[in-house]
Amino acid sequence: MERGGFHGYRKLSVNNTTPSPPGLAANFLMAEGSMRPPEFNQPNKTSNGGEEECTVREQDRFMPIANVIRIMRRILPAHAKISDDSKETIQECVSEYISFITGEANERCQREQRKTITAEDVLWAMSKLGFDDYIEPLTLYLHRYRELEGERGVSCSAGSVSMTNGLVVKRPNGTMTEYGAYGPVPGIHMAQYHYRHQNGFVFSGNEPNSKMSGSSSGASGARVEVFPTQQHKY
Amino acid sequence: MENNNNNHQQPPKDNEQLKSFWSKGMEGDLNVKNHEFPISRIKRIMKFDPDVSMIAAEAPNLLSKACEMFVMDLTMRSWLHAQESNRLTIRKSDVDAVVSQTVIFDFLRDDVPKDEGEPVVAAADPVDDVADHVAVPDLNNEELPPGTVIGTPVCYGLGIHAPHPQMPGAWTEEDATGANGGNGGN
Repeated sequence: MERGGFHGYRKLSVNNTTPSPPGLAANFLMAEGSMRPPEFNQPNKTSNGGEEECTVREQDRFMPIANVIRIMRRILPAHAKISDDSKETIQECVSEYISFITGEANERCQREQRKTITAEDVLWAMSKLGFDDYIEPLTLYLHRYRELEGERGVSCSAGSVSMTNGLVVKRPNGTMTEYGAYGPVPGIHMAQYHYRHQNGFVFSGNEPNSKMSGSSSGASGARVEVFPTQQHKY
Repeated sequence: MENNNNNHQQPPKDNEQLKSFWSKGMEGDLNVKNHEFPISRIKRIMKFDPDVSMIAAEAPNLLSKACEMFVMDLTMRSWLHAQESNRLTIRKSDVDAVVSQTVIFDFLRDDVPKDEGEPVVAAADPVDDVADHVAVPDLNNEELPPGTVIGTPVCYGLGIHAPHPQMPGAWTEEDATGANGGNGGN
């Protein structure tokens, strides 16, 4: 399921990586119209008695300057120097960037009548607003992020595959998860007939054999008859 | 309204170094567990928009990584601009020039004052529909030593993309706190 969804997004990202300049201009106008947070306009900065209040708001509105400087250092050569006012300027630009992307992503959510901004909305907004170079690294990042999340929460369900066959009754067991890694169809078959064998399966008989081979046309390999079994094993 | 600079938006040097930057610089940044920017603060900034109601858990994480790329992008372009003048220090004027010359940073132009020293910017001013400012930030930045800037911490405008009717106030506030004498805002 996750893989399918991710592939679906890849198609979407490919389509969005070719925005036309007029569309880009229109997007800017839309983005400009959607970014009007009143909270930002209300507070007035006074350098006389609002030091603590300014500090709290500064912490809320900007990323930590130390983190910004660390990232700047990461990309610059060792002999490069950064003036303090340029550090502060880039610090402010980061907050503006977050608001800019969020506004565009939220517009897409509202257009599609959704309430939750997802990672795909963020990527879509970046692509629409001209940050196409960011899409590929961030897609890889998101993929790895979800892999980690997937490992934590057990989301693999190898026993969910259902195949109706009058001759064999399929039941989930402990080895289903192990075989699920190779794919749903071969895993199911291997789990049904041979618990600890990774080879192909063979079912004695003429009609059942043809049915099984027809249903599992994708799984091709050396078929060796191991031992005759009863038709209804379980 | 289109604020594009038709000429020399990305010089050849910029292209070459940017390509190497994206291919090499990004590899080490795919560490999923390492977050440079605090996620809680990104969430808070996202929720400043009153229309934003719910945010999925992955979105702030993704934005955190995107912000790292944004900072590196802006920093590297500013460094290239500083090197064009044979300087080893990135100044505010370098960041301002990059914002003026790069299309994807158009949304920052209302927050970063325009670099009047650049002829390309002067050509774009009528399209922006923004009143011209007499002072030249380049000269100010070159004359004032960095120590002076440290002594007076500069708090710029509210850091958001203000609509056009509110721009004069933002400009005046920025000029007042920026200690740039002689700037006449509308």
